[in-house]
Amino acid sequence: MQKQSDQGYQALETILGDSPDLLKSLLEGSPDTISLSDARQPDLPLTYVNPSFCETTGYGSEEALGRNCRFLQGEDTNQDDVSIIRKAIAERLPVDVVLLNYKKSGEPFINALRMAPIFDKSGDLSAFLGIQRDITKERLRTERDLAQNRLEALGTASGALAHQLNNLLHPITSLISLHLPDIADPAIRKDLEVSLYSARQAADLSNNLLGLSRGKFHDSSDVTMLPDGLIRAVELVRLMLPPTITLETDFETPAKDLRVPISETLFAQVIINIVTNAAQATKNIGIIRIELSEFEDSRVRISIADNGPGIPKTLRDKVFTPFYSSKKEKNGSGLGLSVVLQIINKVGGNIIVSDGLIQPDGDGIGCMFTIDLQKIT
Amino acid sequence: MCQILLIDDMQPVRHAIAATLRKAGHEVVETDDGNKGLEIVSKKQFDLVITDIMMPASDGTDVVYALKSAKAGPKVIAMSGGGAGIPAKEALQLSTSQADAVLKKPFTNEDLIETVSGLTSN
Ligand SMILES: Cc1cc2nc3c(=O)[nH]c(=O)nc-3n(C[C@H](O)[C@H](O)[C@H](O)COP(=O)(O)O)c2cc1C
Repeated sequence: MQKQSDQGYQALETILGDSPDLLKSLLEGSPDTISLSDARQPDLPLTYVNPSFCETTGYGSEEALGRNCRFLQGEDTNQDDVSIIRKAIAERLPVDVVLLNYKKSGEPFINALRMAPIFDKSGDLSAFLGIQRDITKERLRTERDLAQNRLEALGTASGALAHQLNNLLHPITSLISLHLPDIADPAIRKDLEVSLYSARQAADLSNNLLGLSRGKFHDSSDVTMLPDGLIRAVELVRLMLPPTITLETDFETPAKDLRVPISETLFAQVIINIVTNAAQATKNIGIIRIELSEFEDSRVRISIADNGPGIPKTLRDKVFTPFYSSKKEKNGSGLGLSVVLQIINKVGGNIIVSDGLIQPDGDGIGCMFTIDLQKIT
Repeated sequence: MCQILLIDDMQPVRHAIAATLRKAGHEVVETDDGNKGLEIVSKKQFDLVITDIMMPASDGTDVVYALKSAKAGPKVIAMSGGGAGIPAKEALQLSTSQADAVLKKPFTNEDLIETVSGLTSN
């Protein structure tokens, strides 16, 4: 095998020597982006970019050539990633880096970059080769699948937990209510009523957990019933938030069983994402108000408003672009809201950002995300 | 008054259900395992068998199946805990469709007594 591949290279070199066209065909036909920088000129200017480079980045070759490739970087590019490239260049070593770049349009994309030094026959560094690939779509898909798996796992775990809780709660409620009528002492009866009440509350809570898991997040059905699906999603997100967050809901709807064309898992993911963002915006001590309403006969609106610091009007579109995150929080993947919008768009819906609730100090206004969905009639 | 066999592996749950049934005037035999339950049924006449169908140790769905396959067996109430993540989902559906009634946990004492009298009064 080894021998054969060596022969293959030799054959390739012979053909390349005879037919320079081959190299051109390879480069021009490659779906990956290929770029070459001259290592003998200061600051490594690009000397070749293939058509795929122009297609991916939006820059024409005349705009790219002669410049250092760092023009693809921007505001949210992680400087640690950049310094990895810088170090590899200084050490003349190949490197693989995944970093945030920007197209000419300003649209961010995840660039999987492989950069390698190229040496000439005498062993001198002549160029750097860059092979880039836009992996944004794959990343978004993985992120979505991960979130879905997490929800399903949570559903399964909460189902098992609820089942055990129910078995523990049953004797409490059953036996207290069985014997309560026989208790003559009103003071003791009062005490037992309190414990019965608490046990019933616990059973309700456990049933909510069960509702979450009862096949809801497993079905592949592309329909979510409202308000039930929303109630379940809110119950779930409530469990994820600190108790210092106040969740207010208003699910009063004219019609009862509204149906929207989205699977409940994805729907829950959208709600959870927006609500947890809102909670973070209020530094986990604010109010989040969730409302469900019908409008224009055929559409459903779910609004999620918070009393956090809000988002300036100029930045409101930006929150949906991948990797936009207010720089302070480093823990988010930055994909949250872009995945959310993608999910909603895919089912023919939309999300609008507008003014939310008045801030506690009365000075400013928080943020409101409104999900607009077509209802199934 | 009915003769009832109660099968549930959770002792406190079984105790509470039995206490409720006894207070309503029924005679209750308790056991914690499906196979033991079938053995008891083979020796003594019962009007009704109430069995949990999700006991990890023994399969309550087998009990429902065995009892309902027999010609003149007792009525059967299947108790289920609901929830997902229980592997034998089809078996569960089968046994709930075979049982004369299903009680989903958690149920109230009133649910229990109503279901029992609904099945045994006529
Ligand atoms: C051939 C080649 C291709 C490169 N491609 C990219 C790229 O696609 N995206 C990117 O952000 N940086 C790319 N770089 C890295 C930047 O050009 C630059 O080397 C990096 O930002 C580190 O240098 P600096 O700290 O001076 O900016 C490439 C570098 C070379 C040599």
